[in-house]
Amino acid sequence: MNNRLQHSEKSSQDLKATTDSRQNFASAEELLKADRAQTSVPPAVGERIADTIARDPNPPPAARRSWWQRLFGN
Amino acid sequence: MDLPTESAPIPDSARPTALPSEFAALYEALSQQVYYLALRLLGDPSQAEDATHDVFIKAWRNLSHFRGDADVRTWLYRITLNHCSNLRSSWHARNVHTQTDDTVIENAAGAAESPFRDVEMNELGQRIRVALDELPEEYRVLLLLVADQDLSYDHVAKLTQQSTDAVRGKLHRARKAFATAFRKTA
Repeated sequence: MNNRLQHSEKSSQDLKATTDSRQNFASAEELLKADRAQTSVPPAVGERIADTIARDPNPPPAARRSWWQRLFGN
Repeated sequence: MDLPTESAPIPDSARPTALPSEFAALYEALSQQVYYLALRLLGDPSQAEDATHDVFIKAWRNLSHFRGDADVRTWLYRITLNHCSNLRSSWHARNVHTQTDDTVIENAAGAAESPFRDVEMNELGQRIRVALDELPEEYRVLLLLVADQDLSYDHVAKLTQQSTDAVRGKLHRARKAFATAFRKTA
């Protein structure tokens, strides 16, 4: 009896998890936005970039100021 | 060997703290957009990782050439599109690629229920990859760009070097084509 009850509860949880993992989208753009939101950049990418830049000469200070000001407005 | 996944979370400890601080901020602000665009244009997580690395290194090396009349996001997107386009061109030169006829896709998009209802999120990335691969490259690029809510149609038009009206018209067809291709992945 207990086993059946536990099995029933587990099935109910599985069903809820399945239901929760389904979503409706109004358009292709919404679908793609949701896809992007659940896609993360693997951490190794940033580490590789840092390694490469560490071996690279710095760009001119004037250029750094330009894009930085544009992006963050200061 | 562990294959890279599409949705692995970024732990704080893995942030690229070794980057110069300003460039690290740029990376943190825009790396997801660049990676996602590359992932969906190239269709492969490993290739997208390489492309994201190469795009940011190109940006780093060309900061002095960055023109102030464009914003950084648009500039990075342009680098990403060019980089991915070059990669895809070289692949296509080596591989026979049979692309689905655009008109067939559009005509097949009928009055059936929206394919975007009751979508299983765990399968979303795989289904989108397959559906996008069915589309002409121009449609794929347009859909991915307009999915970035921070890019206006004018931005997209400039990035793809066409008029805003042309973007709107092609997007209409691209949405229909994508809906049909996505339905087929169910």
